[in-house]
This record gives sequence, structure tokens and C-alpha cells, in this order.
Amino acid sequence: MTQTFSFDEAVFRELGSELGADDLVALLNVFLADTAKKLIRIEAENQARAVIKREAHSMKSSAATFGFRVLSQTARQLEAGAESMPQPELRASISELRQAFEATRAFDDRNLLCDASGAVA
Amino acid sequence: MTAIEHRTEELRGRLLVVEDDLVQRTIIGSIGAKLGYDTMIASTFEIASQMLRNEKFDIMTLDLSLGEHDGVELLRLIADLKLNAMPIVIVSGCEERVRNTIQRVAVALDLALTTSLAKPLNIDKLRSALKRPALLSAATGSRVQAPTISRDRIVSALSQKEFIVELQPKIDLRTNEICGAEALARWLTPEFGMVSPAIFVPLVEEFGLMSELTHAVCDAAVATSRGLIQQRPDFTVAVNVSASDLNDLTLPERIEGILRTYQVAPEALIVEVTESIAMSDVDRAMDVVSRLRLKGMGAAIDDFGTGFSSLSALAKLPFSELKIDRSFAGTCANDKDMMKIVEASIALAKAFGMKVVGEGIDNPSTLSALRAAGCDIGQGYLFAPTLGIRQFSHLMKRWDPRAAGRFPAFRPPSRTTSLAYG
Repeated sequence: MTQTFSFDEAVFRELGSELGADDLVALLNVFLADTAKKLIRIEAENQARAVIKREAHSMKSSAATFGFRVLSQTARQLEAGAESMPQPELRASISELRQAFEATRAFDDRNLLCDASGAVA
Repeated sequence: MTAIEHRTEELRGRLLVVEDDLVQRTIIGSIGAKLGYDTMIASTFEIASQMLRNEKFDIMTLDLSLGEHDGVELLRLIADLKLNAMPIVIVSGCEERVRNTIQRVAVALDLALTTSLAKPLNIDKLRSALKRPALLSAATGSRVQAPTISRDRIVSALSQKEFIVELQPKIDLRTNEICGAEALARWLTPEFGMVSPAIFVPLVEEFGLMSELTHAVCDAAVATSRGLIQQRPDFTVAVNVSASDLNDLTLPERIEGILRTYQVAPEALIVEVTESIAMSDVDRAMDVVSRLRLKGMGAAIDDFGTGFSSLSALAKLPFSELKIDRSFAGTCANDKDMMKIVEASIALAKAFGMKVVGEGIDNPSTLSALRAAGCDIGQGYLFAPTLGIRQFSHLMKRWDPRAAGRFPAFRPPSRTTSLAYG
């Protein structure tokens, strides 16, 4: 994986203009907390593949709603292969998802959470 | 269960958000509150079904994947609870084909499905879906009580020539010229005004007068369009016949008699038979349809694709025209599954040397989809609704093939208005 973060600012701005700055910040916090929990479930030892698929499916949509491209694409790949990938590939795909999430969270901390009101002004 | 109060001065109503994903339900709830809804959120099938049983909502959004259960089960529950008038917005990350099929399930259950939105959510579309629920089904339409009509009243209507026809133009999609019309029966009464076939056809069938009605309607159709046929020798007029007409083996002779009376060539008349009627007694249908063709008339298979034996009907009966049902033709521009059916139907018709008519053309996108698929003739509100003969003749005179079909010339009637009177 060469890129762990890519952000579609137009999508984020549109969401912000619909929700307003306060709600956007609150929603971003909900997203980060919820996605962190989903990842822990995905990473659990011997997790059922159906659960991995369902969580990845949900992450794919939520990440795309904010414009978090790489996170959404990585989740989509995991969802697509969750039932069929051999174990080593599945672990690698989950690890990619973790990296994409950490990169997203780092970007949020640096830019979006403190800047959300500016982004939607 | 979570509740979010409306954040506007006025309350728009109560919104139920059924969604198992925390982020999605937070977004939908927040947009709902900003639009003026008191929003209740149900994160599981069980909570949603309990809320639907105990409380009243003005609109709901429904995620189709709900853990162990799915949205289709909830749609069934909504139908069981008779909540048919509550607008439903489907929100789902599943593939388009599945969403389309579920949309059809909702319509079949007579639910007030408004739209189905894909995930990731397009916030703008979500907003408009919640703002202006425009129903896809006629769930909330109310029917006007049918007037009481006796057998004697219909017998007298037949003798008084109260049954007339209106004509809906058929357009040649290569030249954009009017090439014919479908004649639709109307009953013009002094006491009830214009009565729609939805009311009188079942009565006529019940009283055993179908054969007389068909005769009256064929007579009216030929008499009404005679002038048009004289002006334009390639003009055709189509009439519909019923199941009991196909049981009458003298039908071809009777229609031939009418054509002779008005000195109209048989080539100008097309007899339309619905697929289900043609196949209900295929032996008699083979007899009648083949003799209509031998006498020079056209025969069209109507509502093609809606019955159980569409392919068999094509193989066995010598139809000259195939009319793709509006449930396929009218939706093919936005529904890839329907487009495949339309393309396959057109290919089949061409293989049998038949002309293809697309019904239900209500907008330019449907027109271009059908034209691209190779459909020969079009019919629908984009061109014109059914018209009285005077309006029809006027339309023929001012018809401009360059302008036809580029924008809707007429608005389709509201689907929630009464079906009782045309």
C-alpha cells in the first residue's frame, strides 16, 4: 500500500454545510469512536468472517460520507474478500485497514476537528 | 432508542430512522431535526417493530441490512400493520439490483415507498427525500364510489351509441411522425358524465355483454378514425379485444363487416390482445389471430412480458406487433434490469419480423432509451395523452416532428386522483 490517506475535501465541506459546524464536529467524533470499536472487533482473534464483512461494509459507507477515500477503499477491499481470502491475506488486509484508519485519525487531529468550523463557514 | 427534537420553529412531523449504523443514523437524525422533524431512532429490527406498533410516524427511513433481520421483513410488517400511507425512504449500501428488487417488493405490498438512496449517502438527495415525499405508489389514493348501473342501462347505452373512443397517438420513432393511434373506449353518459372503462368493463363482463361492447367500440374506432385514414393511407388504428371476444370464432368476420361498412382497408386496423388472454385458450387464439391476419388486419400482443407465457405466445401466434408493457418500457431508462428485458423483447420481436411499440413514454430519457434499443413506435404522455377526435385532428395538423418528444407536451395525470372518471 503506497498511500494511507487521501481526503476529498469537497465531500467533507458539503456534509459540513448540511449539518453545520457543531454537528459536524460531533459526528466526526462519533465516527472516530465507532470506527475504532469496529476495528477492534475486526482484529479480534478468530473473528467470524461474516462479522468482519459486515463491519467493513459499514466502515466503507461511513468513511465515504466524510470523503475519507483510502479508508473507504481499503474497507471495500476487505468487505469484498472477507469470506474468501486465505488467512494471511485477510490479516494483511486488516492491517492495511488499521493503517488507513490511523492515518485518518492523525489527519483529523491535525486538521479537521479544530478546523471544522472554518471548513464550513 | 434515541430521540432528537426538531430544530426549527415549526414541527414538520415525526420521523423514524431505522438504521443499525451509528454514524449513518446520526447523520440522518441530524438532517431530520434540521428539517423540522421530531426524530426517533431505532437501531435494531426489534426496536423498530415495537415503535411501529405503538407509535405514529409521518415518514421513515429504512436501512435494508439490520443485523440478523433485514429491511424486507420490516416492509412486510409495515404492510401487516396497514401503515401503507407512511412514506418510506430506503437507505442501503447493497448493490443496485437488490435495491431495485426491494423497491418492487414495496410497490407490490402497496407501500408508500418514495425513493431508494445508495450509501454512501448523498446528503442533498437525503434532504430532498425527507423534505418532499413524492410517492411512487398510489397507496394514498382514494377511489370514488362507483355509481350503480343496471344491465338495462348498458343495453340502452349500446343502442344509443353512448360508447365512444378517444385516441392516443402512436409515434414512428424514426421519423417522429404520428403513424397511428390506439382507440380507448369511453362511455359518455348524460347522468354521470364520462365513465372510465375501469368502471364499465367489469359490469359489461358481468352482464354478459362484452361481445356487443367490442362491436360498438370497433365501430366507433373505425368511424372516428376513417377521416384520418383517408388523409394518411398508412395510418393505423388499434382496438382492444377481451377474453370473451377471443372465444367468439366469428370475431374476424364481424370486424371485417365493420371495415366494409365504412370502406376502410383491413390494413388500417390492428387488433390488440393482451398476452394473458391470448394464452388462456391458445387454440382459439390461434384460430382467431391467424384469420385476422389472413383478412389483412394487424394483430398486436399487448402488455408483453407481464404474463407467464410470453415466449410461448410469440412462438405460437402470428402477431404483427409487440407492445412492451409500460412496467418495463416506462422504467427502463432508470432501471438496468428492466432495460435488459426491453432489449431482449425487441430482439425477439425483430426475430419474428414484428414491429415493437413502447408504451408509457412519459419523459425524454425513456424515449431516448427505447429509441437506442431499436423500438419502432412510441406511445405515452411525452407525446400526448388520449384525445377526443377533434383534439386529435388538431394535434395532427400542428404536429412538428422536430419538436416532438423533446419536452413533455402534456403532464401525466396525478396517480393519486380517482380512477373512476376519465
